[in-house]
Amino acid sequence: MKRVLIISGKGGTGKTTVSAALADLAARELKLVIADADVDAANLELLLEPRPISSTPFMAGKTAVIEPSLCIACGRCMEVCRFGAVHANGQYAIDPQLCEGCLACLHQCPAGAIRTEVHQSGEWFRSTTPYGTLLHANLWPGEENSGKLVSELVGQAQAEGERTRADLMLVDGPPGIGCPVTAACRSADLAILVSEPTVSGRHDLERVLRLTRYFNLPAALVLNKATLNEKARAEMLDFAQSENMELIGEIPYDEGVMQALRQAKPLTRCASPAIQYALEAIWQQLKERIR
Amino acid sequence: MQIAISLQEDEGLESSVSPIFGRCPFFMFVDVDNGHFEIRTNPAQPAAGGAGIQAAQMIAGNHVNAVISGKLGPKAYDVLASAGIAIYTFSGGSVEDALKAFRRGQLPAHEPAGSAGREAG
Amino acid sequence: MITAIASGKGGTGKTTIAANLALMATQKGAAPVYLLDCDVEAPNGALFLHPTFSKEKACTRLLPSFDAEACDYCGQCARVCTSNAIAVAGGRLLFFKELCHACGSCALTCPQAAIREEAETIGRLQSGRAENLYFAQGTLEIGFSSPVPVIRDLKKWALPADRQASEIYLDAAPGCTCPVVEVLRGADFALLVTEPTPFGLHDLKLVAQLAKHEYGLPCGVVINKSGPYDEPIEDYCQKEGIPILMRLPLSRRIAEVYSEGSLLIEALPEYQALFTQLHEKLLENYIAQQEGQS
Repeated sequence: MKRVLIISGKGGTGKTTVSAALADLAARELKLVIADADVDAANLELLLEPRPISSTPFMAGKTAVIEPSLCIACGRCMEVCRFGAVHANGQYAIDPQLCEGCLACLHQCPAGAIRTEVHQSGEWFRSTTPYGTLLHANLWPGEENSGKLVSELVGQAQAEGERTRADLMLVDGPPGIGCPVTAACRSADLAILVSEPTVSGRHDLERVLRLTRYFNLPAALVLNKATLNEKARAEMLDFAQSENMELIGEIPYDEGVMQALRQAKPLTRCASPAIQYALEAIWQQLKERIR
Repeated sequence: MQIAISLQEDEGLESSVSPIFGRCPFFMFVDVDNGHFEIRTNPAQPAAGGAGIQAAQMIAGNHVNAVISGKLGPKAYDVLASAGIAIYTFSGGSVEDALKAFRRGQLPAHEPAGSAGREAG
Repeated sequence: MITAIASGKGGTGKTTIAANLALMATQKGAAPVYLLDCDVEAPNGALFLHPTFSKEKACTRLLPSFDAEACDYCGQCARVCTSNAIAVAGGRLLFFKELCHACGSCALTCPQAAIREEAETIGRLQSGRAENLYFAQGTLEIGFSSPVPVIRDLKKWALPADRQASEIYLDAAPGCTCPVVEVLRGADFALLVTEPTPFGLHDLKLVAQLAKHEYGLPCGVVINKSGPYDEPIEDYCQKEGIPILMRLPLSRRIAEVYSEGSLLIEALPEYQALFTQLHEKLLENYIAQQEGQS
């Protein structure tokens, strides 16, 4: 089973719409398992019509809690906490929002007055879709996105894929270059970088490309909104070439895409012929690459 | 010789070998010479980060000579290698299949990953 | 007054709005204007504003350093490390720097006092000016786990002492998890940027829930790429009592200006009026809220 991760560095380049389109095209020929690893405001589910089979609560890491009856108010916890999570308004208490769960206070407390607590910070789902099983999640607003939920989802998707002998695992990755992306990079054989011919797009592409190199993860480029700016496009293609990054395909700029997306389906089913053609060409290229 | 194997479920020798190491739900510890085995929940599974590292340390603390799993991340690999534990890869079958292949010397060794941890002590 | 500029979804135009709005504000008001680019994983504001940076600071955290002579491989440090950044196996100690959260627990715990702590750079802070705008940004080093310490340090370092006497804009990362919370914390107003697509609305609801209900911030919405399909967003905003403060139209010309890295209010001056009005409405809303409180 090949594992393809779709990332972008920058948000808004079309990562999720490309993921959905590739899922649609791939599912016509191969057995597919799909994961939406962009768990902070997950969007892939808006295009794939998932029906949940199971849902599992997601528990964040532990936070520390002071047991008032045991606390001797020595203040050691406040001394050692590097995150400003301990406050003393009358009695010592830990702010669960600021607590990072390092448990330094717990180990240093002379009275053994600190215990741990887990809390639920979201849930993840196994769903069926017309394109294959989808693993996706909702991380609740305000929670920490440590990469743990991404690791869980991607791990579940991989296990599901191995179990059902899927040919391809497609992962819609998180934006940025932090923990959530690195968690996703660990379980991939190929990264598709979706970018756009803009100054911001180029800037973030360079950063996310460096990240893939750090993981020895082969990377290939999809240039979205390619016809928006000819000069920037030429620069992107030069850049890709100088980095030995294969150009998998280009998608033209098309304002109609916004309206097409309102139909809540992959673009391969509702966009203009030019867009559909471009997506199909990308799939053909990708298919060769993962053969 | 003691081997640890990552499992997808707890179904004795018919359990499927898990393709993931750090966050697999169970590990089987098996004595290859006399066939005795024990299945334990993986304490590293709920870790927020570094699950592979934690699982590898746990295994290193159990006098294991070799590990059979899917692909390991570079950090987990480093920890096992540091403890002198051999790592073999196997996928798409049961523990029974994996052990047969192991005894026949058919399991490939895991490729060394690019070094991830600085040796510090 | 501190305005946090956030969006649930990435790519809606947060940085575009923040950069143009802040620059417009320097032309309108008497108060000094600050823009902090808090999207430390991918800061892009500087690409449009071309600030001249005059000050720079490394953002550091204390990471452990292990004394091989004093270490007896007892493994206590590895046991207390909740990030799994330390592994002791086979008579060797491995330290995985990128996982370390710099909590200091290992150094406190070591029975042999074999762990020293040293400052390690996890990010870079820069500040300077773009015309009359005070601009600062933080950049997270690749490979490090959390953007939150860099954002926290950036705010502490770059914000003026008297925050209420200045107009401060904080450009947050997209999404609604920790890095965004760090920016919303201590803000007076949340300007939420969205786009009229199913993604835009879905994610607007999440970030509005965070800003309005969890952090109690007065909110306003900007609809970017606005056009005939704004209705679902309008309906939502009306239901939640969130005013729509600006609509920037879907326009190829605007997209092209953006792609070149140019500022909208300079390349297409016809849009200056929209930003002026946005600025005025922000001030109005802020004053109204202040009066409501007293």
